Amino acid sequence: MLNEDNGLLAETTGKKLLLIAVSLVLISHGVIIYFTLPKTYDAFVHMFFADHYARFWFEPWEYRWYTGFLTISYPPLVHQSIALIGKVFPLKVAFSIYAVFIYEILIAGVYRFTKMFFSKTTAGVAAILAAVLSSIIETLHVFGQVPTLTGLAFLLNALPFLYQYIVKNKPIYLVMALSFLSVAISSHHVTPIFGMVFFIAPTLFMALTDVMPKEEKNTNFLSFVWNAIKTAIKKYRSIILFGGLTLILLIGLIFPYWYWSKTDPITQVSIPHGSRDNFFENISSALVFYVIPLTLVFALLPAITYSAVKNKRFWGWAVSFFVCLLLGSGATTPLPKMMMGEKVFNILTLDRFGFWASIIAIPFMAKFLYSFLAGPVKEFWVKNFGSSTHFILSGLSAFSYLLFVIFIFHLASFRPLQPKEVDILPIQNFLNRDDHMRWRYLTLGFGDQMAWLSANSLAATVDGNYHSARRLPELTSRPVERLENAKFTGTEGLASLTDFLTRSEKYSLKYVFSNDRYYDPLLYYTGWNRTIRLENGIMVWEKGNVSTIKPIEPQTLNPFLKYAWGIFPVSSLCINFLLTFFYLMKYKEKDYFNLRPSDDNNYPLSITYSSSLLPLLFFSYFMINQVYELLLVKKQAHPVTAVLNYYNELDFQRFEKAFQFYKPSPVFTLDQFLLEKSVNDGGLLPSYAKLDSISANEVYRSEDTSSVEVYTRWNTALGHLAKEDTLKLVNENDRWYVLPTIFVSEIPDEQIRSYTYTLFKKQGKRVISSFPTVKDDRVKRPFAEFKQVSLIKDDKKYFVTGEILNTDNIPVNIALMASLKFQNGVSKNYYPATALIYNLSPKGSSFFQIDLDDYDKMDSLEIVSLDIHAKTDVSERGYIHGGYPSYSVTDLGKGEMKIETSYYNQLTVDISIPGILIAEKDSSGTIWQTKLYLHPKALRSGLNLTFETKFVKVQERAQRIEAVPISLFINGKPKEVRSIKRDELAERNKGIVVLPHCFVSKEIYLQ
Amino acid sequence: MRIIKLNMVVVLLLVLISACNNEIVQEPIMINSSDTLYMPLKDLEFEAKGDQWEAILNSFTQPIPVKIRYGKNGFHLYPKKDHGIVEGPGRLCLQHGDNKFYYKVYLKNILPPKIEEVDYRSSKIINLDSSNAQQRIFLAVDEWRNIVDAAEGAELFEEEILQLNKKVGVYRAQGHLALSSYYIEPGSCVSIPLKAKYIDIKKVYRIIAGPLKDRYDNLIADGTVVKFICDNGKFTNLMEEISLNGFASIEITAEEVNEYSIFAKVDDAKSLSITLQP
Repeated sequence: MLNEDNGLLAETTGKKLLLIAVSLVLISHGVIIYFTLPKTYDAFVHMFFADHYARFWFEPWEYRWYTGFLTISYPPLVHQSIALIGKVFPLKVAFSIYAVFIYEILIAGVYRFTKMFFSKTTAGVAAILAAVLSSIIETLHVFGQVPTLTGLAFLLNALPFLYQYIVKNKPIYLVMALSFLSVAISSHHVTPIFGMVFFIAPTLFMALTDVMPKEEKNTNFLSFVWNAIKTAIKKYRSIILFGGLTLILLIGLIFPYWYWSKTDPITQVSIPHGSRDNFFENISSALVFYVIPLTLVFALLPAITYSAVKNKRFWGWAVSFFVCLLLGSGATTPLPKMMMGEKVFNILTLDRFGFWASIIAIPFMAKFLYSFLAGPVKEFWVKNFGSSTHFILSGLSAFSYLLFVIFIFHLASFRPLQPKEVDILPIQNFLNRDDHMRWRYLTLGFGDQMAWLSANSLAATVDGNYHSARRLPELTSRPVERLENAKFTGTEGLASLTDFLTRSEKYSLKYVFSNDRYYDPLLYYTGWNRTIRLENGIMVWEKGNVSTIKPIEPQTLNPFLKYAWGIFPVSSLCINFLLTFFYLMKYKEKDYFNLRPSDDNNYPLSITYSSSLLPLLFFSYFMINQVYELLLVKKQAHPVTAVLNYYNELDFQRFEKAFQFYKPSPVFTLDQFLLEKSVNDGGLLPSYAKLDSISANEVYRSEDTSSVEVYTRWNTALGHLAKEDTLKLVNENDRWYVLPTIFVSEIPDEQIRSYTYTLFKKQGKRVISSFPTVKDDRVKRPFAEFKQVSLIKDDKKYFVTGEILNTDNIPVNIALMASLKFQNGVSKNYYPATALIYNLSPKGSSFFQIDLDDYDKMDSLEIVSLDIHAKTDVSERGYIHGGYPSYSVTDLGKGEMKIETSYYNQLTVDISIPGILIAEKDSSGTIWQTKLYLHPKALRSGLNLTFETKFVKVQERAQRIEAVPISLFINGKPKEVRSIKRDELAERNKGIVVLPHCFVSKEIYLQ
Repeated sequence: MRIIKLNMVVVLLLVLISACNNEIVQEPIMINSSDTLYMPLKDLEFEAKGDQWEAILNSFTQPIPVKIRYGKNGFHLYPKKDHGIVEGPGRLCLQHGDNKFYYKVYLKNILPPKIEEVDYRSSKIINLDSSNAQQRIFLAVDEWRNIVDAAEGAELFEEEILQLNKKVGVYRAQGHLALSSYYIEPGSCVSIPLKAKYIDIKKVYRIIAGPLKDRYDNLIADGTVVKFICDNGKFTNLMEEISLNGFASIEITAEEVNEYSIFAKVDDAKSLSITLQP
């Protein structure tokens, strides 16, 4: 039995267990980290920062994200260390080496930290526990938060020295404590700041308790607190010295960070984070941020509470533990928000508190585990239930926990946090050639791999993956973390993305690498053209008329601060290693915690039972529940359940699983299902939408039949779509099956269709040289002409309408910009969104509308003049807009029009999104408004499609503002507008004219 | 005794300090001195002391690599490559340690150049809607890109405004050089003949617009949008087609035709309407 406290046995056992823990980390985390890191949240971001330091050690200006930001916005030590290792190894390997190295330091930290509480053997158990603790595993393998682990590892190593310093008053301990704290500060500033409250304060309290005379300890609560205060006053010099020096280090070591915080404060809308959710309402957040990291803590909560509360020296830790546990619960209770205040609550990610609670609990959990495995608790079980029972209980608990740990390692596989891995090499090659790096790019659907791409390229993107550094108004004004995952951030995210796609000229954004076709409609209708599909399947979208990146003056920073940032943090680590070596050689004492009382490994009966059984119950339940959800849940137990699960499978495109919800039938096979589905595919709703919400109501039920109405709301890149369906179900063998609807196929008369396309090829550079193209080789900017332009004020909105014509003999890409000058001398630029056909064939024209700001802002500023700029570029793509629309207009009264459109697809490819650009004209031919209407279903070749559109005319209530002078410019040259002509078609159709504006997704000619 | 020792130390220090002074180097003297250097260089001789010289010759556009060969009383400069240069002012720099000596020279080619005539045209693309005038600059250059007199007493270059013909096509300003091409492009469409033809086998009307021509009788550009607009009293059909070789066509199923009135448009140009009977 290993219950000797300070004896030789405990000494050697503790170290052996530490050695086992260290080896365990090496063979488990060391092997797996390389494979889990691509799926983590943050690993690539830290690698990007590391790449920055590898390239520009003393230059904190990083131009590659957000049009430039300062890297002094994040403590640098972790990134600089990875950068140094990266000089020898590839970046991913360097990250893995660093992560394992830090994990080992953390294990040593936990061992030393636990020795402040209990015996060395318990500390050894704690070290092994730390190697398999779910919260640490999740922090590393799911979140990739290496700086948090680094900060914690060095903080835990600092605490025993602080304890020793307070108890023994020897300067060497102060030096060592400050040395370890310095590394923690340089790695992760948040850890030492909160660590002051949750780790350092309890350590001081524990040290003061231990130096208190015995008779002062054994008093009632109030007397004990008073005696502790008196002891603290006696030790005030030491405490103030430590506090003062820590403060100096905290400010001095990362002074550029504080300077940045003060001079460039974060003023951005708070970004939602799952850790701030109500965990009863959002089970997914609860699982990731509370259940996974804290299940073992909750299972052993009786033992933790008993140990922490029983001994007065642990009271500080008890307070820290419970406060952290509470703060980590997010908005599950109103208490965290009340304690922190709304502003702080909405800025912090609260999962860190739960993580710290689990760390504080380690010594107490280790103590119980030690007792359960080799102490009094084991004796109790053996004595009362036999050794076999104890063995089985231990084995099953360990086994279920092991399964739980394996589950966490593979969490990213069960619940994918990131898109599939993207091979970035083709993108690198694309960026490196033809001067593509002279413009910015944007990735869509890459997840955190966008940071990996940035780390491997010198090209710049408007997006980024470190939201604290965002300063672009289009990003900070909305709660959007990144543009590349706008799909998952709802209306706000897509609005932000649309801003960037339409204002691409402002940010020199020319290329979009899309890994998700969800964004295709938005890209197409905001004027982007498909250029090439790379070998890795990534589609490259390009926008014409975008200027190259303009030089941006980096934020100035005193050279001293730059050198301080490059030297101080790394020096803190080097000095720490030297001091540790020096300390081990010269000062280390054998039993330096001689004031720590002996362990009492006995627990009351209730604690013994609960803490022995709860781990098995919790982890078994968790794993059984996971298996049940994955394999055994009855998805067809009820008609509504069956319908909801059917739609879920469809939404995630698991068509084989969706098919299993259909009633088995020899005539409706999987092949038939997929065939019928493919016939309906391609439209905005079937192919470019994500299910946003669903509601199902059973409207009829008999013994074995049911009818369910389903209301679905779909999120597309161009807005929301709603749909209503009625599904019929039958019951067979206690399962509800969906009955397939009768499919009526529409087919054209012809068996084979033909169509003549006129395609263009721009030769590109004809002089083979990597230098800028010679004058002889350049193509002039094509001609274009404004047919009309008007400034309209309608109700609360201002907008510019008009029509532009491609007068050249080649297809063009057009970029429009309205520039308003106000009375106060300020000017502001506006761009069209989707109400313009950006690519025009020779002699093709398009109506357009550019929305300006709301009237209250515009009226208060007083518009002085309006300039409309058009830039043209040769285009060889995107000018086939497809379809023959025929339409008729019915006046419904009060300005409301019903436009009945019949579309015919004359092409040999499907029209993925049939659309019409509608213009409202008056009798003189003046355009009053322009709107884009898109039909949600695709139109197959040779077929017709009919749909109705409601359109409200504005000319009765709106006002055409003629007092503001309008100047027109084509490619920078002033131009006159044509005289407005009456429009015969508009007159025939109650002032409504339409133009075909369809999206064809087939890439044969990259239209 | 102390004073003597101190004096010795001071003297020693002074000797050391004086030993640190730079060696004074005399400026090399160019033998057969001339303001003009002919390229490739031929045995340019300098009288100079020492053998640690470096020579750098710069024209006003580029450095010209030279090598040094030392002789009894100095050194000779030779070209590293035998080719000409862009003529003009240059500077020769001779360097010995920190001492630099500069010689202003005028650089000329000695080799008889091959003369080439160059014809620059602007603008390269002539759209007949605007103008058929083109600016031409004609000059002669040698193989090292020096502008040379095309003829004795003539200007360095000739400039003229050409009135080009109105025939659409791709023309070359210099016959052997594709890069010198200029392009006469058609203007806007002014006439749209429209005809309909019933195709019995397919039971369709084929409506053909063309030949579509500009005011100089050129066929309009391929890819031009031709709008066919027909109306049956209820629906307005808008069919945009792309022209190829001056023609654009659509097909309308005959069964659906009920007294269709149809016309074609290219921008503001419009055809006459024709009526299709069922």
